[in-house]
Parts: sequence; structure tokens; C-alpha cells
Amino acid sequence: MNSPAPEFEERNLMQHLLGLLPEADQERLDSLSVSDDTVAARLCDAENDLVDAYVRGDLAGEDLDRFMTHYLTSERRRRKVLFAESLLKLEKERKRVTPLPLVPPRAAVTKRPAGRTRWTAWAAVIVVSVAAGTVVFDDLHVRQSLSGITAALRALEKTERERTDELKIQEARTSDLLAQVSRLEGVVTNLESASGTVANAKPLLVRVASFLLSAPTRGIEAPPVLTVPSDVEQLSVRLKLEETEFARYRVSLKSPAGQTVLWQSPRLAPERGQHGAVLKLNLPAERVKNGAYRFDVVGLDQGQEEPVASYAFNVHREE
Amino acid sequence: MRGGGVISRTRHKQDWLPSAETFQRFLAWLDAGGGTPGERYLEMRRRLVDYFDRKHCLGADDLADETLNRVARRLEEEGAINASAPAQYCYIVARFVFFEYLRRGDRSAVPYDETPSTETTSPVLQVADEREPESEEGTRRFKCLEQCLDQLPAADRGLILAYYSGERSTKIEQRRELAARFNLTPNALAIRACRIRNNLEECVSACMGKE
Repeated sequence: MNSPAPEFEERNLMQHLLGLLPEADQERLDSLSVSDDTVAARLCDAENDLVDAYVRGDLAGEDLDRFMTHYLTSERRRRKVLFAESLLKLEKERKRVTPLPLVPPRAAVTKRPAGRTRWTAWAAVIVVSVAAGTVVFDDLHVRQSLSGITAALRALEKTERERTDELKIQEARTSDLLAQVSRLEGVVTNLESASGTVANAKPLLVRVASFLLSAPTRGIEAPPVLTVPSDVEQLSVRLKLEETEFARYRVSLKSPAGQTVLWQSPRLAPERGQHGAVLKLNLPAERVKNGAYRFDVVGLDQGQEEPVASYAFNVHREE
Repeated sequence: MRGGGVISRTRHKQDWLPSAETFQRFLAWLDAGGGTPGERYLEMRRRLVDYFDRKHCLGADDLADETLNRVARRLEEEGAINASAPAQYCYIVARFVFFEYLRRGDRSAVPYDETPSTETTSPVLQVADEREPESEEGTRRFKCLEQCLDQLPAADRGLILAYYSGERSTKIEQRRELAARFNLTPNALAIRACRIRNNLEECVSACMGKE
């Protein structure tokens, strides 16, 4: 490691990755990211954490915005996001396979007498030796046995250490889950107390903005702009279909980078109206902010999905 | 010289290629007596690729190779480069390569930086969750990840899974415990985790390319 650069905090590293640092700092970090081992490692760490935060849905506000419009502009970085999604999936699957202990694991670990493993191991080795008829008194054999016993003990101690570490990690997860349960209990209580009020309330009107998107053409037309008033809660979008070769379709709203599904329709049957065959979508307006999006349409055929069309558009949210 | 010993040609490069002897001398100079010249070279190349990529350059790999190519040529011509430390010198050359790239005018989407920031204020853009149907490519990538993980030494596998798992709130404490368990400083642990993750990402990319 060479000279550290303590003037850059974790937050600065993230800002650097999102292109939010002032130019002078950006330049200095660029230099250090190549020439300084410590900064290079910290930046690598910060980038992985940033990508992980994105796939976990932990980014918000300007960070999320810059991530979408600045960070995701490179193929290499989009690959990092895909990798992070796989890693997250693996973590979720591992959690499913390994049930969390109901009893706080630290207590379970610390109650175990420290020497117990060692003695259990000795006992196991002796029992195995007797059963195999290999208890001998020759010095050489004793030394060999002791060597085997030591190896067995080390292996057992290593296993126990690893289990202890895993238990510690699971304890942290349990604590996190308990906090979530507690939060959810609070939400349920609030909902229950609010239910009486809601039952007596007047029905609310939902403001809907409707749009019609034509089938994409092969030209170089700019994507249409959907202007969404600020108080609109629901978007009603009709997608014109050129052909209706499938009985059912599914539509996904995707981010500009096209890697993240922001919303997905149920199975839809095309409807015929004055505009020809259309797919009618209703989605919460909060799913889109200012920016570029697209609807990807797939036809459903006996469990298979076949891409049909992609409708690019821009959203302008009115103040 | 991508990842292995031969400096590749691109349309940005001149015709000079290092001899095997020059390349060995370049590796030794870059390593500056660290004892792991091959690893140091790969690490420097990765940093340069990241640098050009952050600058929104098209062909970041080629530009990184071009940089290392020029440094190796200079070393051969001069016999030694004493003006700067090797890594610092690589950065200086990389900046020149970047400015030339800009002047050539074949740059990519730099204007993203100039796009006015939009007004997103809430985390409405959600990521894939378990309800999202898995694409075929996603399934393949996941299988590749499992395969690549299996190829790692057990300690590395345990480290990377523990280091990058868990929520933000628990990560700091979790990593502190990991550092203690592996008898490493937090910084050394971060370096090791990054290295493993980079290798794993490359392995997954290679696996995806193979299938």
C-alpha cells in the first residue's frame, strides 16, 4: 500500500462513481484510482457496494437518478449489475436453504464448554481406534496416531470456528429480521386503527392519465414524450399492436438500461377498438419519473415467451 | 498483452510490439520488486480499463492496452523510467491516451454528464425481486456463478459470500468480524474481497461466452 488519501470519504468515492464530484476532485481521484493501491481498493469496494445497493433497492433520490443516467451508461458496468443480481439471488437461495435459528445463536455457542470439542474429539478418535483394532503401543504408531489425532482436532476446531462465525452472521440477520417484524407489527396496528376511519370515508377519486403508444417503427423517430401531471396516480396506457398473433401477452416496463423490470402486467388479451388491436395497461404513476423508459411486449405461447415489440418513450413529470 | 503476454493491436495502436524480453522487463518494472509481476500487470490493466470506462470511452480495454503498450515502448527506448513511480507513470500516459481519444472524436456518450439531473426523489425504481420471472440469460448467469464459485478455494468462497451478503445496516459489523476471522485489517479484507469478486465476474463472463 502506498500513500493513503484520507481526504476522500466513502461518500466521496460513491460521488466519484456517480459523476457528482467537482472536477478537481474527480481528476485527483482518477489519478489516485490508478496510482494508489489503497484508493484503488477502496474505490473497487465502493463500486461493488454501490452496485449491490442498487440491486437491493437501497438507492434513492439523486443517487438513484445518477446511477441510472450516469453509471449505467457503460456495458461493463451494466454487466456488474447483472452479476450483482445473480449474487443477490444466490444469497436469497442460501437463506431459504439454511433456516434461521429461533434461539439467539450466540447464547447457544457460548454455553458450550470450551473444552468439550477437544474431549469429544479425543473420545471419537479413541472409539474409532478401538473399533478398528488399531490401538498399538509401538512408538512409531503412537506418534502416527497422535499426528492423526492432532489433525482431527484441528479439523474439528476449524469446523467449530467456521460454525461460530456463521452463527454470528445469522444472529445479525435474525436481529435484522426481528426489527423488520417489529416494524411490520407497527404497520399492522396502524392499519387496524385506521380501518374504522377508512370504512366511513367517502370514496376517493383516482386521477388517471391516458396515453396511446403506436407500434414502434424502424425509422429514427424520437421516442414520444408522455407528459404526466403531478397529481396523477394512475397511468392508463394503450399499446397499439401491428399484429395479434398471440392470444395472450405480457408487458414489462423497463428502466433506461433495460436491465431492470420496474413493473409487469398480468397476462393480457388484446382488445379491438377504434385504434385497432391494443393492449390496455394500468400501472401506478409513481413507477415512472422523468426519463427514458420502454415497454417490452412478449407473446405467450404454451409457457414460452416470444419478444413482440419494444415501445420506447420518455416521461416528463409536470411540477 | 491482454491478460497474458502479447500486447494486442488495435486501430488506435501503432505497429510496435514488445519482444518477449521487453515484456518481461516491463512486468518487472511495473511490479517494482513486489514479487508478483503478472498479478501487478493484471491489476494495473484492470485499473486502466476502469479509468477509461468511467470516462465513458468506447473500447476501454483497447485504450488500456494502448496505454500499457506505450509505457512498455518508452521503457524499451529509454532503458529506464525514473521520473515517476510505475503506477503514477501509467496514469500520466493514460491521460494522454484519453485526450488523444477525445481529439479523434470517436468518443462515446460523454454528454450523459451534461444531461441535467432529473428530479427523482423517491426510490420508485425497483429492482428485480423474486416475483420477477427469471430470464433464460439470468438463469444461465446464475448457473455460471455457481460453477465459478465451486472453482474457488473454500476460504475465498466463504469470504466473498459473507463479505457481500446482508443488509447495509449489518455489513459494517459483519465485515469487522470477517476481518478478525481472517486475521486481516479491514483494508486488506476489502482488497481481497474485491480481487475475488473481480475474478469471479471474469469467470462468469467467460462461462457465459462459452455456453
